[in-house]
Amino acid sequence: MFAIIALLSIVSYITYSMNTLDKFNQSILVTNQENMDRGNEEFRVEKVTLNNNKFNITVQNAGNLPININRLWVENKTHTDDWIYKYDINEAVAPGGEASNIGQNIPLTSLDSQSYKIMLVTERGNSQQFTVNSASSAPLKIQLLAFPPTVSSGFTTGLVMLVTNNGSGTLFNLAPQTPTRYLPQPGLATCELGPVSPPSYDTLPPGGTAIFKWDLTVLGNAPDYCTYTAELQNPYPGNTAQATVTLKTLKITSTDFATNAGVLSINYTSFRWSQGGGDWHHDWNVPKGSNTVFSLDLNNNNVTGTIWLSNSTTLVFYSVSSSAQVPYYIVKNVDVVPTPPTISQSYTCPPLNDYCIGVPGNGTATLYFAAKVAGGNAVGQFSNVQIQYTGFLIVFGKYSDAPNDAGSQYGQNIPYIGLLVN
Amino acid sequence: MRIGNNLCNRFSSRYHHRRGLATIVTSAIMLSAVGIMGTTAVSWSNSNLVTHQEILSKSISDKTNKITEFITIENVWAGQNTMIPPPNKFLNVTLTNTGNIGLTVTEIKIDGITSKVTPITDGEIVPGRSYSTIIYYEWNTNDVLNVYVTTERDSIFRTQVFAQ
Repeated sequence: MFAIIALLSIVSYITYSMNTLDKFNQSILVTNQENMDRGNEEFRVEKVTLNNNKFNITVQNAGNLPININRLWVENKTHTDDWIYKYDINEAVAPGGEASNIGQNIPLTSLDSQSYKIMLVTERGNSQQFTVNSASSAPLKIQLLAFPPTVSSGFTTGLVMLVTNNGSGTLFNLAPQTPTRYLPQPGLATCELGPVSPPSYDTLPPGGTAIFKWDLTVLGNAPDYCTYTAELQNPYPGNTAQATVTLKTLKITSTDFATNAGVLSINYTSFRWSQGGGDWHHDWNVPKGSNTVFSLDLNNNNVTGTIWLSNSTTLVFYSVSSSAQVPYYIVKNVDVVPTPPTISQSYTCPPLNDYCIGVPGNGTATLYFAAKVAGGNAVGQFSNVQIQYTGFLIVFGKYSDAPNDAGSQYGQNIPYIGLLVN
Repeated sequence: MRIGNNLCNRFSSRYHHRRGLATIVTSAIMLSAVGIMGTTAVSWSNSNLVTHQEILSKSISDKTNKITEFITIENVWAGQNTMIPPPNKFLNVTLTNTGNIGLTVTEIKIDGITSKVTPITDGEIVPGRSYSTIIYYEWNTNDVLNVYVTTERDSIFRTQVFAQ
């Protein structure tokens, strides 16, 4: 009897102990799960704006658990009192979802001109801290660069402002002011600044860099320059950067020409025409129906070799309104004293009677065009009709040491000549 | 001889009678003793088991409560009360009970250049609620401060803050 009682007591004790331990075990499991949930909770602040002087915070739940944001802390970093307010909010955000308008219902008036440190706290105790309009709270690393820093008049360069967040908090609403001419050395060039792109960055995480770009067109004479100074909106005092853009004269080297425009080029300002009387004209208005001779300077941009010009080298004018074409073949020289002008030296040179003129490497030669046919003596003329002509020089030649050497042939068309015959 | 036999018979009869009585008495005593001893043993063992159950129950309950309670040190911000003469710097500590049971904060310790332990007498926090207190502590800008919060169940929660 007593043994049975004792046995029953022990069994009940063991059962109770097991149940108790099971409950304890459940508590541990629940606590572990809560701790894991706390660690797995993940959310980020997507956007912060000020709408009607109220914060409008957008939060995204980037984790797998639903979260509930139940506290909003706001600290004024600009105000001398450095006040801190705590607000109870209740914003549930589903996994993968977003919650907007956080901060719109709190009784706090926020100003664009002031910097705020904000913290959101979830029900599980996790928090996200960030700053708003904080460009004014601490100096940021700002660079202003011109790409390229030297341009020719009328060209456009890029003015680039780099802002690096060297702080520990995310910056929001980062926007630059329009750069202003730097005083006291603004420079004499006329500079026209385009719109900024992009106008602002919603967020800039720690270590991130925001890039703002303006197109800058510069006008003036070398070596005029313009210097700009740039800063952010709501800037930290003195947190500025400067950049200077300097004008330079446009120069294209012979190598540039050889690579991009051809080995041969003409000096367009040397283009001239004559109908006798001892006058050379540099304009584009040529009287019709008269013998005309032309002259221009040809540059050989090949720095090493001489090009010998064939008698087929022609200055050709094509009508822009008809099929009319008027060729003027190369001659060695012309006489513009008489009217009409004459060919004083036709393009002949025994024994080949070809390749008479050579333009040395990296050199220039003044050429004359007058003959109706290759190697001829008769001067060509435009018809007796008013026509607009587009002209271009067709060069046939060969690179060789002497006119008689075989060398390597080279042909090129050099355009952009215009004439109005009337 | 008869007299002797009679005496002997009478004596023998009384002897047998007494012996039977003694057996019964002895048996009764033994049964009583066993009963008393058994009852005592069962009572004692039951008492022990009940005591152990209570101890186990309390121990498990304490441990369960201890592992269940959780405090989030939600915010610690440094300030200065310019309305009073130095030393007037303080830390505002906000604690939130993010666990499932109520708890009582008994002390907050600030450990920086100097160490300060502040007893808390009104630190009862129900689940989901917060508790804020101001602790006067002479911090310097960019000091790294360790904040320890101790509860009545001897749980210690810790965080680290920059004084700014």
